[in-house]
Amino acid sequence: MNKLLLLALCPMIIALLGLVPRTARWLPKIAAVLMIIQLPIVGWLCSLIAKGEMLAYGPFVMDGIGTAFTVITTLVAVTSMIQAAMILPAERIMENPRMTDRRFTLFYTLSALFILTMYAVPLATHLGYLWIMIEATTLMSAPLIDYHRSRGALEATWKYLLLCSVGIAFALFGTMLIFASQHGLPGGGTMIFNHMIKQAQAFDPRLLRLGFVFCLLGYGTKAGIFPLHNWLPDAHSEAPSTVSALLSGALLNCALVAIWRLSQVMLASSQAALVHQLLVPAGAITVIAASLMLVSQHDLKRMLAYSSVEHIGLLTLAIGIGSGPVFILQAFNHSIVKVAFFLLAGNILYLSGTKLLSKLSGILKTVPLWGILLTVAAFAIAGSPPFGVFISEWLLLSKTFAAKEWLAAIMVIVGLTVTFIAISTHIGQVLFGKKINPLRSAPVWGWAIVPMSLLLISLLAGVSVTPSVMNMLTNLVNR
Amino acid sequence: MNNYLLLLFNLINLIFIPLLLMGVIRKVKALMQNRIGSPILQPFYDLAKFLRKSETISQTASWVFLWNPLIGLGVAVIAVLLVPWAGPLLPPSWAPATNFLLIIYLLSLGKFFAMLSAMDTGSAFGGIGASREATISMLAEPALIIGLGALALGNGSTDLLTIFSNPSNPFIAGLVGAALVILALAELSRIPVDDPTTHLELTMVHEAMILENSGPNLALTEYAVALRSCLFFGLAMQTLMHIAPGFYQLELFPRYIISLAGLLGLGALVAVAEGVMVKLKWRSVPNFLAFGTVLSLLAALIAVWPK
Amino acid sequence: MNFSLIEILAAGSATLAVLMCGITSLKAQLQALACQTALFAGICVLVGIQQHAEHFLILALVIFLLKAIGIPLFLGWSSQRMGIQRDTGVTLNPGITLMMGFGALLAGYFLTPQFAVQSAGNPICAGISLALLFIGMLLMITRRLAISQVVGFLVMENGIFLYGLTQTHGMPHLVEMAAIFEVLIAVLIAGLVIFRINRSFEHIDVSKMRTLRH
Repeated sequence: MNKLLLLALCPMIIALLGLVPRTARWLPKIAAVLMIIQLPIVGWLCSLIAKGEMLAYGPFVMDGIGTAFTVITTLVAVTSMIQAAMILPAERIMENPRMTDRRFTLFYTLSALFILTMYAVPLATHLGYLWIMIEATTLMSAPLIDYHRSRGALEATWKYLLLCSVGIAFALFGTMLIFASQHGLPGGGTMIFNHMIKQAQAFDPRLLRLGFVFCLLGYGTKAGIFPLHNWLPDAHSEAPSTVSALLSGALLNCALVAIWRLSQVMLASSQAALVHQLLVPAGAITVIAASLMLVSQHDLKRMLAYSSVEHIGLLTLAIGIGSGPVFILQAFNHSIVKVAFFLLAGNILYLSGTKLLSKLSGILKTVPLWGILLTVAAFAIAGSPPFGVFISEWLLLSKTFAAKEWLAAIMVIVGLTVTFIAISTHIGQVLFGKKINPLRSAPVWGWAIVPMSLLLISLLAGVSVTPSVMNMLTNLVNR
Repeated sequence: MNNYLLLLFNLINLIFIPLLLMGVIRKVKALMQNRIGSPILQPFYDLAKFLRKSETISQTASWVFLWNPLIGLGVAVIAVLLVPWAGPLLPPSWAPATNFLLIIYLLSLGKFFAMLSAMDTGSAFGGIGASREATISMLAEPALIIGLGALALGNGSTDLLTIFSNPSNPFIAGLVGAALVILALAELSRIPVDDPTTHLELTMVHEAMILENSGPNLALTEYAVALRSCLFFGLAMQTLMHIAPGFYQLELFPRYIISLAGLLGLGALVAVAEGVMVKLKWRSVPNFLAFGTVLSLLAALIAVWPK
Repeated sequence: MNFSLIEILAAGSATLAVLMCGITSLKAQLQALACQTALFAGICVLVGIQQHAEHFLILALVIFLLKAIGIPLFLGWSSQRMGIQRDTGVTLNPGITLMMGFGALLAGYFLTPQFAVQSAGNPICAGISLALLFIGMLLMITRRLAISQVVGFLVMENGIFLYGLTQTHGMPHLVEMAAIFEVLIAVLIAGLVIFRINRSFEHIDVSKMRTLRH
């Protein structure tokens, strides 16, 4: 049997189990266990890759970037599912007693399918299949946002569905334009990335440029590049925290992988300068805009969503200057910390019943452990040493300066500074101040284990970035 | 011989067909409403009756009010004779007289005097009617000019006689024909733009303008309306018939008969539509006319498309 | 002007799209969408005949059944269940929207040289597909009802597929089929979400759903 299909085994089992409403009682725990099993599977597959074996299933090939993002997606999915096994049943009893079993288990089915499509996106080496899988992620995740069925969630779902579908339609147009730019090639067109990179010089430059712009508009909408990010704060704040973690930690990476693949094709063609000219300003402007909008936030999860937008800007900048290792490193660090932060926010939301910053205060006195973890997470996401985000942002900035992009680098520095101040202020407001009465009780240590371990991983990632690690990443990118 | 035939056809067009068209429309509308209705030749009887009656004229009216029906009738007669709405019924040497801009401006002259005379009587309803008529024609004139201009561009000449004697692109013909139907409904104040049978003055557009006429003036006005109906519906029908590739090559007599049949058919269709549709709210009338404008613009786009 | 049959059908499709900008009743819009998609399926058949490939005929059948008949029926049924067929739901005057739709057609006409692939024939179709794209976006922006926004999205997809059909040669047919199916699934999910929105908000007027601010 094809070894790559093992990747899909556990999510498929969860999806199938979720179709049966009777499983509602034990499905969360089984899903968590199955996803924990996914960890050694992915580890084994990575070891095979390290030995040089080629894993492929049709158009889905596990190359360097694919492996890296598979690992990131797995980590995100595993941690989200474990935390979901703890929070979701309690939340269901407390907040949504009228939720039917069927809706609950269907949530798991859709989540599992969503995770499956997020696996498929980095592994797709065919432009068409890449598009299909990204559209599939949109379709699978839209009903997930609507879990609570509140007015805000419905509005967020509609905006998400509409804007992302329009964006992906633009990406389809761009895909067709890129395919059409191959009209002069003797063997007809191809959509496989490796073949496109080899023949890129012979593409029609006018259509290739237009195709790249449209694809950037499309996949950029999905990724959340300013000014196409409008759906992001709504969707990420209205969804339940596990779904927000999946969206921020894994889905945005998928869209960026698509942009990365396209930039590789462009760099091999005669229009290589376009990548630089478009992506670097886009990334820098996104960072500044997101950081400015962070200042005036009054909703905890919305603030985290804008922080995601800012990191998307950083990742776009990384793609723009063409540095694969920094891209992977930054994506990894961001995902880890963002998931931890979202899960903590979910905990606080459950505890206090609100996510408005004005109503939250004194967490440090109410639940000291969560308060400490919140502080650590805030420092981590804002890019302070010794966490991983600091190292990757540092590397990004140094590469940006090396590429002589002064304006972008300065904008990024300003943005990061503003973000640091904004996040510190907001989180400080949550931590200190008058102690609020918690609405309900929650197992403090049980629900803190997953964020704690994620933050530990981030710490380890921060201190262990050695030149050999960077070499490993570079080799990975060039596979 | 041919010229005598043309003269005969033109006389029939002038005297018999317009009122017949109005009669057909009225009859079909009555049938739609499940009535027997008046006989088809009723408009003739009505005209004779009006000519016999005496007139009542407002004291504030001036020569504009007295001369308006004559000017309107004169303009309508000239337009009906010049425009080849039942096929090219003029000798080819008359072609420059059938310039579509000339026709449009002639009709505008008639409309100008109609609006003036409506305001001349000093009644408030005349003012309402005149202002509404002005709005409608402001929205409909550009569509008319662009539509006929598209036809002209397609055929390389601005003379309607030449246009209708030569083949034209079926798409331009189709789109302009559809636009002309919409514009005809607007210019002739038929449903859905205006209800010709309404007696509520606040809903009137055209009727409000001719409200004050009586006796022979009314006869002349009604006859002018009938002539203009023939003109617009006939023009629309001719354009639509030009979709068929061989239509322009037909002999004179068959073409004349087919055109008349088409005209009466279109009149019947309009009557059916009047039975089915309702008058649009005044605020929605510009949106309806915008459809006509867009159809004309589309035809113009096709006409200017480089070959 | 020699227009090939494909270009004639594409022009008809574009005319219908421009007229759709001025139509305010939802039922008429769905009918216009159905006609437009049927024309597009016709184009698909002609392309299949031209390139001697059977999968285009299957694609045309799928487009006709699902997109030209299935989706308008589904959306009409949804709107009937929600009782909104009388609501006009436009933010901009339909007359002005019509003019802007024509402007989009002009824009497509002027941008044709940038987008057309000369070797594939039918250069006009590139401009028309761009025009359909712009008109789809225009419809999405100027409509208040959520279902009308879905209609605009479908017009946009028609334009994109038109470009792919007429300007590219040898597009992998699995990708095209999957794209059509995904559009269908997207419409189904959108219908489901709209239904929930109607139940929750008592209307599907997106201009009133503005609670989530910065």
